[in-house]
Amino acid sequence: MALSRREVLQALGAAALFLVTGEAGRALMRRGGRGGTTASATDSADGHETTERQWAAVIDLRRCDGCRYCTEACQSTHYLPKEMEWIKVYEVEAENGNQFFMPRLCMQCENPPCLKVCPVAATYKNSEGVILVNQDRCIGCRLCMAACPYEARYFNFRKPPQPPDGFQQPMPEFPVPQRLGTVGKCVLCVHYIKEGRLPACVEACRMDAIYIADLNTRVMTNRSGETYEMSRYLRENDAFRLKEEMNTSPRVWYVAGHGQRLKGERWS
Amino acid sequence: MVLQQHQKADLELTAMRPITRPGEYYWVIVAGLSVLVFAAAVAYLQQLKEGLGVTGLNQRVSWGFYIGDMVFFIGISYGGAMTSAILRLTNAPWRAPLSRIAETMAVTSVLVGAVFPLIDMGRPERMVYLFRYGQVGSPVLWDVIAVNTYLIAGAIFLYLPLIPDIAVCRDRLGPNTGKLRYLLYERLALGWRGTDRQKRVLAWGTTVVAIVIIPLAVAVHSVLAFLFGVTSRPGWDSTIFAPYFVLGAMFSGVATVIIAVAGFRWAYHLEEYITRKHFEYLGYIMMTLGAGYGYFMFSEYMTEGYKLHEGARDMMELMIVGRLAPFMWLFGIGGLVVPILLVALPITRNIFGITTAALAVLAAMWLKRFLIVVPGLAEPMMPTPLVIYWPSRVEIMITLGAVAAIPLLMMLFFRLFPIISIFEIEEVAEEDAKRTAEALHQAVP
Amino acid sequence: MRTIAACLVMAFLANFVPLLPEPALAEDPGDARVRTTLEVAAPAGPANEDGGAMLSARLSAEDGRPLGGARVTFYELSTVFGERLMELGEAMTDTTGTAALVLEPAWPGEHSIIARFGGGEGLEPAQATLLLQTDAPPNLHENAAFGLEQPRKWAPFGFGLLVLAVWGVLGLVMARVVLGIMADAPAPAPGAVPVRIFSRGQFSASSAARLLAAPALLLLTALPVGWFLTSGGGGEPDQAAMPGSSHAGASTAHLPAFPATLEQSISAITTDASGDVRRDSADFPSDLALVDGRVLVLDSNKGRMLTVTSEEKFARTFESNRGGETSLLRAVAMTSHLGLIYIAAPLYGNVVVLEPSGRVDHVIKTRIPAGIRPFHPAGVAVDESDNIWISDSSNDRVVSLSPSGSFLASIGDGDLDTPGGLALDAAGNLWVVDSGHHQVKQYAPGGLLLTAIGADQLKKPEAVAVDESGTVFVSDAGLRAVAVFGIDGLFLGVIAGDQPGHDGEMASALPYPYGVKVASDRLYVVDRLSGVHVFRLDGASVREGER
Repeated sequence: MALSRREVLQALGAAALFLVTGEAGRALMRRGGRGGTTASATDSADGHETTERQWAAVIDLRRCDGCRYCTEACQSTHYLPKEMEWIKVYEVEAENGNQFFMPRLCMQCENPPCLKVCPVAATYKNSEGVILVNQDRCIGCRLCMAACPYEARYFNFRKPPQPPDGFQQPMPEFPVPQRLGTVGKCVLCVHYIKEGRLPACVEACRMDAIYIADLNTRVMTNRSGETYEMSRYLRENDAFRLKEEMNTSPRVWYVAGHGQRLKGERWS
Repeated sequence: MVLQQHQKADLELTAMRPITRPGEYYWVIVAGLSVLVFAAAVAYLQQLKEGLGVTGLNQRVSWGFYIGDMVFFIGISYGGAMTSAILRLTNAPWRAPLSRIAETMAVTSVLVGAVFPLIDMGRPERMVYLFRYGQVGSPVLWDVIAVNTYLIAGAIFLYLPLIPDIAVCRDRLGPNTGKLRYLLYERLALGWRGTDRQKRVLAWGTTVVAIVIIPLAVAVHSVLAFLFGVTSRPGWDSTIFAPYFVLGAMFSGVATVIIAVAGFRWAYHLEEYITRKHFEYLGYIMMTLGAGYGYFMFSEYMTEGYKLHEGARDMMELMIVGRLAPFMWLFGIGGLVVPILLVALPITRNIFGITTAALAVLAAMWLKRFLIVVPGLAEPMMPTPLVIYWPSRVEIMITLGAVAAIPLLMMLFFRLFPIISIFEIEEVAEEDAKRTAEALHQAVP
Repeated sequence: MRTIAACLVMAFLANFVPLLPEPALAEDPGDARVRTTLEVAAPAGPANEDGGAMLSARLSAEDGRPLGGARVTFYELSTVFGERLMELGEAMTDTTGTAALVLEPAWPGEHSIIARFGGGEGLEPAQATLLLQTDAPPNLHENAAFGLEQPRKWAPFGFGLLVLAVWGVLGLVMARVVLGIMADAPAPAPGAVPVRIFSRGQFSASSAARLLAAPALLLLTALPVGWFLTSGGGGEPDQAAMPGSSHAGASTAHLPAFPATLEQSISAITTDASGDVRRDSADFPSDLALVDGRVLVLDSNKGRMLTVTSEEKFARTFESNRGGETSLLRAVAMTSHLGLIYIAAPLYGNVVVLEPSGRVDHVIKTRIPAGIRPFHPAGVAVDESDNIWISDSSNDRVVSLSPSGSFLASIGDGDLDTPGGLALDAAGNLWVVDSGHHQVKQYAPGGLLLTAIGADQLKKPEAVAVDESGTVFVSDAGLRAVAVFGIDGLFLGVIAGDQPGHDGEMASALPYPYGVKVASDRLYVVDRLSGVHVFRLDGASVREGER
């Protein structure tokens, strides 16, 4: 054991600290409260879960380098064929000629055009504001794909890849495997968030450009734990939403930084 | 003038010739059309088994031939409702020999058109969910309701004037036609024997259905247009779409009536009843509708093209000078200008010329449906390049099968029921006679 | 002594200091530094009508004089995504040393506020915490209104009535016409001979049934024939995106197999008798370590260490607190060295050193010159002289640290793209998975690139292990297999990989292989989805023969 004197002292200090403030520290740890991850919150005795989460996302375009690891992670998590890019990285040229990359996941609109046109209510918004598809009900008419202004919906034209055994219980929150002849889309990995994990794309973003957020507690965080108060972050960074004029109220904000036009104009 | 006995017998003979002596080529044509329908069925089975991946559709252009076909076939059925219902309500006596063909065409084509949403569905076995979980906010559900209502109204509209003709079949053909067939006639004729009361109630019912079916057909084509109009895709996001579709449906429908009438006139030797006059009248209607359609197009492109908002700009560049421009110009010239000229110029205003014009209109209107469905999806709304769609063998085979299914169904129908409405011709003749008598009465007090 | 003193002074102010990463010190703190004290408070009464609370933090020097013009950052503890410090904002201290910020609480109840002063200009950093109770109503997010709510609500009823009216009219017409005609129908007159204008024999050959029979038969035959015609081809399931694959449509079934026998598999998720998932399941295992014949597995999602028991199950050995300095949340790299287990934990960049029993031996706080991003340890290795190598996937390099955590050197700058697992071979050379370039690279301890292998075979390499003879084992999530390379970089084959399953689908025993370790003739593979697998390397004798 090659420990320096400093480290031994530090360890001692930490121990002393724990003894002195142990009770307060434990109280702090226990206090899942509104803040606890779902698993720990339900475990905690005093978990006063009063409201649901309202998931959202923030994407910092200044950081995105177009590596498409997010797409790969999403596809391997959800066993998607190559053509289904639930998170798609667009290569965009800004007005000033700058090239930049723009990942597009499902905008989780608050007024989703896709939801309104579904004839069998297979697309629905769950209580946490995430738009999901019940692939046991979807009849595959594909009107939602035409209605989505963000082109975020994908159809299983071919037999989707099959995951190994043990995955055979698809549900709207974790639609693996996909169903032939139905529509699939980004589910914001609600199943992961509930387990205390981050969405696959957030976890895979090596540039830390994708943030996952909760609109109720206004907390946004990325893979490496950079965590901000959301409303303040959006305001200070001039965040914008895509196609705001369409009255869809998307829940994905973008932070520009390559000379993009700011409001939600169409990209060409 | 009231029809003389020999005229009446002649009329009945002609109207029922397809039932009795369909001609030596009848079965050849039926077999040929059936082969096409059979091929379409095989192609559909393949699609059912492997999923929609056998089509040329992709993640962006997720609608193609099938939706275009649906709009087209339901559209042409309006021609039947148009010539029959509108002309009946406006008391145009020349419609009488055409109405049966027009109405049959209307019902068969809407039947074929209504199959296409099913073919297009990724999960056709879940069709019943449309009723179990139907969500009234969805244009798809509007379509289901409107098309089904229209189908039933169309069938009633076909059936009512058919009742006296079925009675003629029953009486003339007798029980020797075969037990089943006679039973069919007997039941469907409802005991018609042409009393005044029966005539009165039938005339009332036909008029009411004719009144209902006109707005109904408008509604059907409007909600079909809403299928596109409720989205925000450039090219689809248009307020003019509903009337645009209605007019387009009437335009292509009248063209189809002309073709059907010409075909059956030639095949079943109806020259005595269907004359050049009928073609000219139908041609005038088609010409007017074509001009109206051109006006709608102009109105759309004028307002959009003046502002050239970003989405509309890309769309119009694609359609007018871009990759789809050849198709668009083909439609504009081959589907609007040339047919209108063919009908307008006295030198080509004959049966051949008008039928040629109608064929051009029909083909061009199909192309126009394609040009409505595909570019709207192909033109990106996100920063990606244009995506190309080209139909696969399966889609082409199914479309050809549907095209074949309409004459096939009509030919089979006319194997059972008279091709010309005997009752309506008599009715028109009686009215004519009554008017002549009144005029005489007034002239010679 | 000073460390202890500082801890004790701050103890009652900062009762969860271990949550915070120690402020990165760019230079060795000289004796000239002045200790500072930060006190944070929330004066009573709302700061604005929305129920906001005013937070104020007072910064003072050791001697009590207020420090103005210093930047104080306020954080709040959020546990929505695990325990994370949410940055509320920054404020500058005024002449009284006070920085103020309005907190608009998002939920009623307790708020843990942390104020931090980062130090500088001869001042030591300081931090303070505050437990704040607010009873303001929750400021919940409201969905945007769509507009025209009332008409949209009633329109369907209007249209529904219209549809019903149409159906009603149609029904009425049918009823009236049918009844009206039937009312005048003649009584059935038996023997009444209808007027016949056609000869009798004409219809002997046709009837309604026969008429419809031909096309109907044709269509009916179409069904089986069509099925037969189409049953042959097409319908290939799209294999393009099996987990981690980055090349379209590739199955790995064609790759040569390396002789190995699956000896033991410990399933990741196990259930107890009642069918519930055992608490000792491996939720999302990432890596393993071998110490004294024990197999220890890192469970990254729960942040804990598991031991493989003799019953082939997992047993919890070490459970890290979720936010503390020993937290193993999302840790993916672990190795063993001299009977201890080293785990590179990403949360604060610490290396947690554990005994196989689960006791914390010590925690090494890494001191790395500030990069552009926080670093993500994806691989860890410890060499003969106790120095620690960590692959920093965010900054595309491998760093070496002294046993106390201070930075020694970095290698691979410029030729690595997202490095992954690390392994040291017998000669002390470092093997690095270069996942961005689909290669595995060998470096001399000095940082000289010796070889790069696997460019043609690897798809998504994750981790690497090297045995005494120099054979290299690379777990590859794209191949769904472990690729084996000889000492000269020769590709020897794959272990596991795609096999046609019972239903014809390609399946691998290793759907998502990750951590890999080798000991004598046993290969241990952690699969993130399926658990731990042990292979006996039958090829050991062959390799001996080669040499």
